[in-house]
Amino acid sequence: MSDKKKNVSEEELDERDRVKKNKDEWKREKRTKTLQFVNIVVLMTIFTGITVFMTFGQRPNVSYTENRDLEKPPEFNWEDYWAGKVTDQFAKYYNDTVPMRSTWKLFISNFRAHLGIKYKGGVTIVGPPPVIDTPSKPEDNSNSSANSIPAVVIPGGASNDTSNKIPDVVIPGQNTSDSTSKDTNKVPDVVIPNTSGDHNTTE
Amino acid sequence: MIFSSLIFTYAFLPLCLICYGLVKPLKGKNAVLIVLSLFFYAWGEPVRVGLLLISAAVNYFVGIGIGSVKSEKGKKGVLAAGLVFNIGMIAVIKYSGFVMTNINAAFHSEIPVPDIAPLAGISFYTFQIISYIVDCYWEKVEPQRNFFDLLLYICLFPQLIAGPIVRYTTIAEEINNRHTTLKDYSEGFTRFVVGLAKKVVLADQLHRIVDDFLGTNVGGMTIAGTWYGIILYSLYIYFDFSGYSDMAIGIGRIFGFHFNENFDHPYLCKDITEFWQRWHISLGSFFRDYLLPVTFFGHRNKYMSLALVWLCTGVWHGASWNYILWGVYYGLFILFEELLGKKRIKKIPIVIRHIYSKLVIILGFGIFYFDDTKGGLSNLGLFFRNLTPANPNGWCKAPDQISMCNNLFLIIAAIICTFPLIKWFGKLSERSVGAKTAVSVSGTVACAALLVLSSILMVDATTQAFLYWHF
Repeated sequence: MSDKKKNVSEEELDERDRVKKNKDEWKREKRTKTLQFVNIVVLMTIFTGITVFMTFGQRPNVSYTENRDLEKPPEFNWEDYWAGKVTDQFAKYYNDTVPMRSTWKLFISNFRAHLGIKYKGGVTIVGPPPVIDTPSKPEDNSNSSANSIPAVVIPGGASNDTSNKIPDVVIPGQNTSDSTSKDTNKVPDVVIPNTSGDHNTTE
Repeated sequence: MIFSSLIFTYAFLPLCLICYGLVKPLKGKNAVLIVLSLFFYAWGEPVRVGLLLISAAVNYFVGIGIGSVKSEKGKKGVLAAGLVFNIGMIAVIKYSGFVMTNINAAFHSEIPVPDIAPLAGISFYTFQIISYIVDCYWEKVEPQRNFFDLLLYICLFPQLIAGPIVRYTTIAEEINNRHTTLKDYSEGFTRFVVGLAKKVVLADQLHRIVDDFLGTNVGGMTIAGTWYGIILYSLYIYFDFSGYSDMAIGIGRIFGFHFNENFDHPYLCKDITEFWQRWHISLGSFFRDYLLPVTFFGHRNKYMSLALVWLCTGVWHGASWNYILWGVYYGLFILFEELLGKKRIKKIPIVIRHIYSKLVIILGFGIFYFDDTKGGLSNLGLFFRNLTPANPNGWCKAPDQISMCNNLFLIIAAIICTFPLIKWFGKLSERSVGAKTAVSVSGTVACAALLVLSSILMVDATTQAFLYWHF
């Protein structure tokens, strides 16, 4: 009799364990699913938000910082389509005329400027911060071409690549702020474009 | 259209998701995927879709032929015809110009060199097709009787252009029987974002530096500059290609397909054999399964097979001598490790094994970098000279130091990201309920931040096309 009781109680315990385990597993699964759902909702919200912004946001047609007309949407004809020109031009247009383009370009420039630490060794500052012209009106830029020299320079913003390339214009010998640089007419060995607007050289 | 472009991520992909979601029956979903995949492939050069369709049609009949012919000889004949067609197509499109140029150079002849534009992804989808017809011949799979189902396998846009090389056996079941779970959506989206960030945040930024060092004046580089450039190139190529694979696997997952992994943290390898078990796994396993069993005059020869596999690995990557040299280079190291034996290799201190493997990999990518468009073998010679004290330009100059300092955080982040961080966090999350929630929530926040950052960085027109795109 006692054996039977014992067996029954063991069975009951097993059953309780099983139910508890199932309940724990169910809870764990529910928690996992909730976390997955939250993940999808967050990512999809951002994804949808950017898609709507890209689709319905106002697309600029002129870049004042780069002083050029942005890419135009393609004109469709079958010959160009089969040559791949239509889709190519559309991709260029879509990428070049992103809403709030200059803001993103500036952000990219700042992001790249923060990919490391500023190199100080052997650097001589040879020029004052460049004067930033007032942006010209859109109608003034109507004849500008994509390859024209920028009238307005936002350091690092207008260019696609600033951190490693030698800038086009160097102004040596003006208001040398580093007292170690005596020979202001000396041609600098290396010119470092600076995102804060200065032109630096190393000797 | 490349994955890491705004037009793909915020125009094409949403269009796919909407159309795919609106259609309910699976056949309809498959039709949507076929149409959109062909549209994707036609982007930029619609004519090439014709070649893809011809290839799919021919191989459909090859598969049916193999399945319906009773005799072994007949099956072999159909398979041989299929292989000749596929390899012939890739040879003509990809290698004919290279072969003719070299014949002209060797024999001072003037045979006209065909000027065939490179066809994006041809090496990837042709290898997929080859795996299908060989598997049909080996009776691993039933030949697909529905042309559109086979076409979906061949042209499915996530893996069409730059892999991974998906076997028909991997997705055959899922073509007509799949559903996307909550887990698939969550992990698929996360994987896509991680891949996008690898490409846009790491690879593209590294590429800018690599171009400034290796891409300009190889002869004038210092020792430090040369090492710096090639180490960053090794990081760049990993993030570029694995980023694409992550995006492909992620998108596939969203549509209910489960592709095999293509990378498994290759820079953690301790020897070159292990490296190739972790790098471009789908290509390595393709050669292992379909090329290693090849017999030579009726006999299997391990060393001949090894030579064939590594020659093909090199040639597969492109029509340029440096790729062939790259394949041979790896073949020699694999042979060396084979001769040394696994037991002996394991006895070598682990630090030395790591140094050896990283050195071989980094120098190997030096060979890989200098293809014919980048000066070829002559620049490769200068590159190897500049790595050594024979370099006349000195040890280190200011531009090297400037670039290293200006990109220090990027380099550290890139190195850290070569480690299996996600796996580590996964293990951490198993410790307790709280840890799991914390890891999951922080993962979501990190992914959201990476998605926003990648999207902004994509605005920059300098975003590079994927390196493996033209293979």
